[in-house]
Amino acid sequence: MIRRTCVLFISLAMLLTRSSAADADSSKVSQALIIGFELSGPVIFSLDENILNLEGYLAYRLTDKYYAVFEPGYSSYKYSQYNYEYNSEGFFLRVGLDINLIKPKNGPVKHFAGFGLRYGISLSSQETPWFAYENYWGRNESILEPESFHAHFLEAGGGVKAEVFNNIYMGWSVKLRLMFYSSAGQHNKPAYIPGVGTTGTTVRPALSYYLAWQLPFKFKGTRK
Amino acid sequence: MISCSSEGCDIQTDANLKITLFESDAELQQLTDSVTVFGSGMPDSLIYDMATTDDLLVQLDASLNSCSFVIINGTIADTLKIDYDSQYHFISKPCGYAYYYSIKSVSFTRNRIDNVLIIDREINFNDKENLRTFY
Repeated sequence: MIRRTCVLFISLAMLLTRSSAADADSSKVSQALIIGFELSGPVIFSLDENILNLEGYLAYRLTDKYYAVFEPGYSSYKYSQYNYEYNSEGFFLRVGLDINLIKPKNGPVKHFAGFGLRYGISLSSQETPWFAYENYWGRNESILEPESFHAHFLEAGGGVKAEVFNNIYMGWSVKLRLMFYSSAGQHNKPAYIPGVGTTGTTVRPALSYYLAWQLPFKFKGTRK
Repeated sequence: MISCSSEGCDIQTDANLKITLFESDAELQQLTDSVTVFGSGMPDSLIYDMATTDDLLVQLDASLNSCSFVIINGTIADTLKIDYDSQYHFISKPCGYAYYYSIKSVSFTRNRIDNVLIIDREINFNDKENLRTFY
């Protein structure tokens, strides 16, 4: 399943790269590197120290339409309630493509409004410092030692990024995430997966805000 | 990254051992007398009190690998001892953890019980028949 997903994404990337090269021959294309980070993670952490999500945004603008995207990140999550405590932390990476639906008019496209697809991998560890279970026989308390696991997921979403100053972009995107594999055992399924969020539903919605800096570095081809 | 979730544990969180009661000379499941059940050593905490049921749902002790139940069928008491392995199981974020069990063996007194069959060794949330007792 994982191999098939990787092959699918690589094939899609090659197909779009080839397509973008063909586009480049017939239109003036400003390739660029876009570096940014996700804003809501630090804001949420300032309000709730139990959730830390630091997420970078690295995109390579292949053409006005296609962007290769890499989103590395780190998450730490702590949760406690009356019958257990839970900690999870780890790194994640999302790789995929963004497709801009704004068509060029006079010169390169300045803004982004479109959708994207990602494959994600999360390398994490989780532990349960204590949990309690109570039934007819009484209360039983136990702990679960730290355990490493990896998880794989897909993400689809759409959003906008607008140039607010010269080469400075801000934007947001709405996403749906689907985890399709976790190496954690069936009896200790993760309550939180870095890069995905809390578990419990098949598809996980999320909202991200971005601040990014674009570094134009190359012109390729001429418009016919 | 902002995500949404709905809280509240509204599902079953106890894995019950299901014991069915059969008359030895009857093909169909039936019980003619009322049943009282309590954990061994806990006569003040009745699980069933003069109940007219032929399905018993009881919980095992997660802190031990065996526990016993006293089953009084009519006026005659028998003790049913179950040996098992327990396994923690994460249910969900709002519910936390529970235990699943796997039955290793069963022993019982024969005051009124003729025999006990292990139908399904795995005890989880499905409430399937695990033990079948014949009277």
